[in-house]
Amino acid sequence: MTDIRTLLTSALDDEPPLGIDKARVIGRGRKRLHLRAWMGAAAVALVLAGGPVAYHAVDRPASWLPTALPPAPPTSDQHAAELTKVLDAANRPFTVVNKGDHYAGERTMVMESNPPITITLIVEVRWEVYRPCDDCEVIDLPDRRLVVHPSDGLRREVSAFLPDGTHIRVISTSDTPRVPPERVETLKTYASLPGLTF
Amino acid sequence: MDRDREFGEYVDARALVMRRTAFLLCGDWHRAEDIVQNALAKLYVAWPRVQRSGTVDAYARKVLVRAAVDESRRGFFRRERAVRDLPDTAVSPASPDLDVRRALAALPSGQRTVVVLRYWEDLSVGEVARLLGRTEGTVKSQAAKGLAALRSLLGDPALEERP
Repeated sequence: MTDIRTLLTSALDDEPPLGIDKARVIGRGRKRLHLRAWMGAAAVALVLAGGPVAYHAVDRPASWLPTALPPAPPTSDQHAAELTKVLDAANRPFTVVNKGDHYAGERTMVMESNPPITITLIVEVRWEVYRPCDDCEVIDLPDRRLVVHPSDGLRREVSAFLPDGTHIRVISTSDTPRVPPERVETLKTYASLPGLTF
Repeated sequence: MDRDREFGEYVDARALVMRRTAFLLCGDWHRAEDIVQNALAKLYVAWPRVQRSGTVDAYARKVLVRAAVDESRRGFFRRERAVRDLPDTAVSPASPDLDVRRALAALPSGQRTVVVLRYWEDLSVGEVARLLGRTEGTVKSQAAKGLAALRSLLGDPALEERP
């Protein structure tokens, strides 16, 4: 009969020497303290200045977003390669493919588990006019509108609409509620990358 | 500076134990060190408050577990090997060479976290529930399922909860 704690202890058999540098940890802690103080001051300044970033609880049309678009420019493998480079340059390795009417890159991750868990991340660059979305959170940035779609726990989506007609869709899915898809903040980062244009 | 000295003494005393917990949660010594360093940096920020309230260990455990859970959720593209297709076979539930680490890795993250907190950190069901923001029923259920899975994976039907 094995005691569970003894069993867990046996998992630590090949423990390497501790590599945690106390001075470095303290340095990181100090940086965090300073960053927090700076962020607090910046947030106050932003509020006092009116703020270039407007958060809306309810979706509203943005006057600077086009309500109609000319026909989409033709897609090309060359532009797909350029989009791949944009993602690579941001340390987000994706191979973007020309899908005819849009561009798309997809990564699938299989986590070792029983059964295996599959998580996907899809980035699409489309040519689409902005349409209001019920129940979405809308975030207006200086150069684009981010739309965070409601999540069912297995799928998360963040869209970005640019004034030039580009619509970036970033979608992450998981096949089990035990491991959630990529975080909304991560999807926002993708949707905010400069250079992802149709 | 008192804060740095006292915090440094705490790091000296607890970093090794924290890294062991982090390792059991994530299964990789390097990631465990990263998790502990992140947790300790957060602890440093909160140090005066948690020290005053006498909750240093509880807070350290909380930020450690959250750092481990966050780390397991984000940035998996940087950490894991992406594959184009699903493997042909799933993990064999009764593989004889499956050691404790692989067995732990095969547990769903929720069960694994509960098993580690319950049986390694020796926390009560209530403490684990508060720490993870889950109900006691969920914690009990995940602990039972986690133990059952370990028994099955390790082929040790007599694995017991307590000495």
